[in-house]
Amino acid sequence: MIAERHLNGLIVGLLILFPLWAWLSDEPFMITLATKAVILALAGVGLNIALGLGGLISLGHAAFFGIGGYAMGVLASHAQNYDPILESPFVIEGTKSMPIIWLVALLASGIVALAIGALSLRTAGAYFIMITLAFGQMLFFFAISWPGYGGEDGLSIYVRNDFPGLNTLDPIQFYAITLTLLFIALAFFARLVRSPFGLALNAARQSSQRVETIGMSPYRIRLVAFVLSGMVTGLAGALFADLNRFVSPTMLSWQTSGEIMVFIIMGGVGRLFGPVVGATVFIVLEHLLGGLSEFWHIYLGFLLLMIVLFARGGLIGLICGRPPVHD
Amino acid sequence: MGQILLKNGGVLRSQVSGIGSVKGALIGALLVGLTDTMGGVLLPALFRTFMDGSSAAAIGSALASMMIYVLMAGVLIFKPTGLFGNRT
Repeated sequence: MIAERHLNGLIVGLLILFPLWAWLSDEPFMITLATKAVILALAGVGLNIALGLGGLISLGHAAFFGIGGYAMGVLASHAQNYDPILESPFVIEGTKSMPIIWLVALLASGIVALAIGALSLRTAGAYFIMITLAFGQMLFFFAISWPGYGGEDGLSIYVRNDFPGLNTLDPIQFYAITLTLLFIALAFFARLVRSPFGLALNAARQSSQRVETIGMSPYRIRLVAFVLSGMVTGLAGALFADLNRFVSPTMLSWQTSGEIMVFIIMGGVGRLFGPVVGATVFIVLEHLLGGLSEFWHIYLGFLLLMIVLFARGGLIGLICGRPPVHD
Repeated sequence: MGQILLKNGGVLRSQVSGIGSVKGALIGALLVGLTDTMGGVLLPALFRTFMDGSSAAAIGSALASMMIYVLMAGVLIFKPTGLFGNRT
């Protein structure tokens, strides 16, 4: 048994050293794979706030992932065509600047998460899963059949967006950006777990009656957690679209929600590095097994089944055991 | 579209009407089926009354494919345990 923080240190080391190795031995594809894993991990960190801390099983997080992606796609496609988004009453231009796109993605997914959360959190249990799925599918079908921004074909942009001072088309520099954002999100998550809000959220998951008894509203606590969770996932969506230079309704489909949830369950629900481990394993499997068969999800499903049945606490739980004080 | 309906239809129907209710499953199935079919026909026709043909068809079909999920979310918002579900 290794202590969880030692394992976390090891993962951080690997996240920094592996791309450096790939960069030095001139393997840009490996860096791109690592970037993809880091971005998906960021989406997982977002869902982990709702799923791991709040116990809110949301099957609609692809909605926020896709909204982040479309925020980037819409802004960048308007900028590359020199075509303002809005002309009256005031002019809104598209932009190719990453920080602005991130802000828009955070805001847009936050607002949508507020609306979806406010309505969905009236239900609980299986009904909550279904209502988040319903909202996710609503946006998916809207994106598929709305011809304005590509419809089913999606939107592609010619060059990756700019970040001041860096060349984002260089894989290692784009990786550095995504890794920095992942570390910021992880630090935020770690801070959130220990904050009074995180404690209240944890309490609301374990016993919402007791939270109500001491005069707090579980609904409000969960809503804030859902919005924070949606915002982080939206940011990951903007980065994912930037990585591929392409957004399509696939990002909004319920399979994407499922995948993000699989990362968390594989790595360990509610663990700080759970989604990072899960996303990395997913990408490694996709790379290794994808070559063997188009239907590599069979092996993934088998692995997931084994983890769910025999390794409570996911892969991290398997290596570190259950934390001494939990639940 | 049909394929996706098949995938989700079963879950959706029981969800709309309330888990564990046989009468609810029947009514839910009818509701979902009618909403999907009628929405696909009537919404584009409705939009054609005040828009030109092609954009009416585009917007109408965009909204029609969302309709069953709007129904499902609507039911769950106002009746959090389904139309015929037991209060828990």
